[in-house]
Amino acid sequence: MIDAYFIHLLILIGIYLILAISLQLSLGYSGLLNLGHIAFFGIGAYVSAILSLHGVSFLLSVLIAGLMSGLFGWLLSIPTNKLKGDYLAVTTLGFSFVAYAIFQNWTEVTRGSFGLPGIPRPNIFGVDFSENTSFLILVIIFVLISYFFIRRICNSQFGKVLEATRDDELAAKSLGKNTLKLKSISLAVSAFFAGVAGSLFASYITFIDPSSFTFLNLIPVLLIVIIGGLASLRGTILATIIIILLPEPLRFIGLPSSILGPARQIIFALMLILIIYFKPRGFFGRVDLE
Amino acid sequence: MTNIFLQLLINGIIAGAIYALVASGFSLIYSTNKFVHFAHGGVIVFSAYFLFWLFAKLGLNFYLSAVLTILFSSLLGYALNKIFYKPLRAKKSSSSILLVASIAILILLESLALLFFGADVKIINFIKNSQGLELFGAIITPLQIIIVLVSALLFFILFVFMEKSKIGKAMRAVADNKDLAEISGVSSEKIYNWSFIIGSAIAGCAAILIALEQNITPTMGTNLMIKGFTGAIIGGIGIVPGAILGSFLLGIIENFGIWFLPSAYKDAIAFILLFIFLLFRPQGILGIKNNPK
Amino acid sequence: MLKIENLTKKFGGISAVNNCSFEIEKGKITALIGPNGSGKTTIFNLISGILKPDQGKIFLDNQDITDYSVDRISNLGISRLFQQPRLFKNLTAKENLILAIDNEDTKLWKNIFGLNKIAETKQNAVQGILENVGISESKNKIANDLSFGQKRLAELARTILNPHKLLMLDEPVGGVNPKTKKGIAKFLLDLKKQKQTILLIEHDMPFTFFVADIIIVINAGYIIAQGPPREIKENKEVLEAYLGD
Repeated sequence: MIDAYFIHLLILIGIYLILAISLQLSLGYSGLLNLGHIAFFGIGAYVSAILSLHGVSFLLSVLIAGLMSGLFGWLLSIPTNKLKGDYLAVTTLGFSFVAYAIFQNWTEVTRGSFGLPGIPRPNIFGVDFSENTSFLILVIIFVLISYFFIRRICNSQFGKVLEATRDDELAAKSLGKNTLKLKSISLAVSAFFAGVAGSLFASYITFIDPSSFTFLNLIPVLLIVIIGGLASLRGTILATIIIILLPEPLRFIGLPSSILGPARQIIFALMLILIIYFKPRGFFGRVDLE
Repeated sequence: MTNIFLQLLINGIIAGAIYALVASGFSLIYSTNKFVHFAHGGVIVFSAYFLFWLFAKLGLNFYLSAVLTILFSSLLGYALNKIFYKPLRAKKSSSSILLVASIAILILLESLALLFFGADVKIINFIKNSQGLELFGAIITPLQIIIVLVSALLFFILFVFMEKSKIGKAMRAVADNKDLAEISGVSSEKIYNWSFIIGSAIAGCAAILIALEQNITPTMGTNLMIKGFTGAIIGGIGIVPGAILGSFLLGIIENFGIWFLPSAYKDAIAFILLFIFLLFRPQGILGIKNNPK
Repeated sequence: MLKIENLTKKFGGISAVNNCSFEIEKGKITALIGPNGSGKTTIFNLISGILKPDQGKIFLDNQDITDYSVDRISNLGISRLFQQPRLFKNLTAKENLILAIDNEDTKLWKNIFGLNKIAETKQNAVQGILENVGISESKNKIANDLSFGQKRLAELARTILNPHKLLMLDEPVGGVNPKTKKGIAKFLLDLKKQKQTILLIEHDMPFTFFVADIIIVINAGYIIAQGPPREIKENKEVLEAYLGD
């Protein structure tokens, strides 16, 4: 019993880790306060779910879902290019509202509140991943690939020029850097991986509905990135484990689920406020939140 | 014979009045403090539950409950500023940080409401849902008339207050140019407090009227805040009359919008308008172009 | 090399720059001087592409760059030092400088596949200039942790490493101590010996008169005098407007 539960937690940690490091790329390294990040998670989930339900193989579904999310990330970056700080935050938040409205209302495709049930577990080259244990292995592989890819970007000179754009965009431009292109790439890659995480999520839970993709669902992810520390990938790993595991003891106290839900939100909200005030650099952050 | 055009217009004005109540208090706070106080929606929903608690649970007289609710909301807004925003401002936090904090506070307030009162819908049975009156082919209920009249009155009072009173003028000075205002002897800390007190008091009024007209749910704060915020952006976020204008426009556009689109898309209209304005005209209709930081 | 023609820029109702024209000669140090608010930095911002003029044109080697973007103008060969410190504060001094050398860092795939290792030539160029300005011991310090003088030197080094035909320096010795000032003056004269073209804004008159070949005087958005330092020193209008006595 405990084993199965533990595996479930590990899978969630894996999915959230991919989601968090993708946000870290755009927020921590590029300085883009993208509060609409959850929309990319949702787009990935829905695209992958719909494709899988129509018989498209898992790997292809994930790839297409990632590319679709990435495309929207890139599209979002263009009109928001000149926006900074809270204007950017609110505009990207607005984007996530629009995405949610589409998930909710485009019922011919998404079935709205009824959601999409029966999303198949992956079957890759004949290997079936219906068992959670095997699914966990799949998640671990995706986590490793995503983590190493993003880490490669962040540690390279490209990562440095992203950080330069974050620290002083005008100075970066004055050195000849095309910051519009840089920010677009950052948002696109960030969205791509959020979409991949969404695909894994859809396949794991086998059912998705719009309620998983509201801005409320971004709070734990944002919390992870801030607590782990901006521009620190290992901070993100540690923070993901803590944030996913933290509300779990509540379950064992025997609280009814009607209390569990809001209690979890309250904990996250308070943690966010406290960390912003007391330790805005989080554990391993190299950069202040601005 | 139903006059659809007039009905939609009336529905639009009623919705606009509600959004304007949300937006005006919010805009007052934004113009003075220069950050997005999303938790304003939380103040509204919490106040609505407070009214419910006083009136439906404790059985107090409605008018007394209403007055207490307004006092409560002002106090709540003031407390949020003192407890959360003031310390962050003292640390020279940017408006982005204050925005993130305010979102956290909104979630905190809504979760607390959910915890104390549960997710089921609460109803305040004060004004009987009586027969609507017919007006040139459109229907409007007495409650709806009250909402429009009360909000119009509130806006008028707000206008007079901002133009004539000492605090109102000081608030406009701080909104225009904080440093200059401080040199002239205005204590910006005091003005921040007043903006939260008055803005949240308006939120309290909004909560009362909304609670009467619609049912109370824990997540209504977020929805109202988005609508009010959209209205404020459309009209000009830093300008209180702009926020009011924009909100009425939003209400009307929403209601005419569903003449053409399925009614489920009503909320989507607001989101899309918000997004478009933020991208292409962030200063709103009445605002002056000001490079966003 | 650089020519501005009838440049005008208004803010609200106020003309910050009024019908200004001048030409910068290659290989010379030209200084822009004038009282605070006279339009000097605005002219710099117009040339770099940060602002667009209401009227007038800007030519770099006869190419009309008036409407070009900031990064495009930089890549055409204009390298600028800002009046306010603009180091990438969370990166080290060395990282700040490496970014200036070329734009290979903006190529995503090249960097992912490890095809953009920082070549020895780049490392040497960075090391060289760090030593030249005297801050090589601090090269691995986070830029934000450097002293003001060190920051200014690092930013100057970064501006020079950026491939350029024209250097635009806005108050290079603003707020630095006398020793650093001397160092920067010597550095600029070395650059002149290398036949570099420099356009400079400065308030420090002795410094300016010492390094500049040509001085352009601006007051209230109008150019009121242009010429070598000895002519400007004797110009009555300039003396009244700016130099005092």
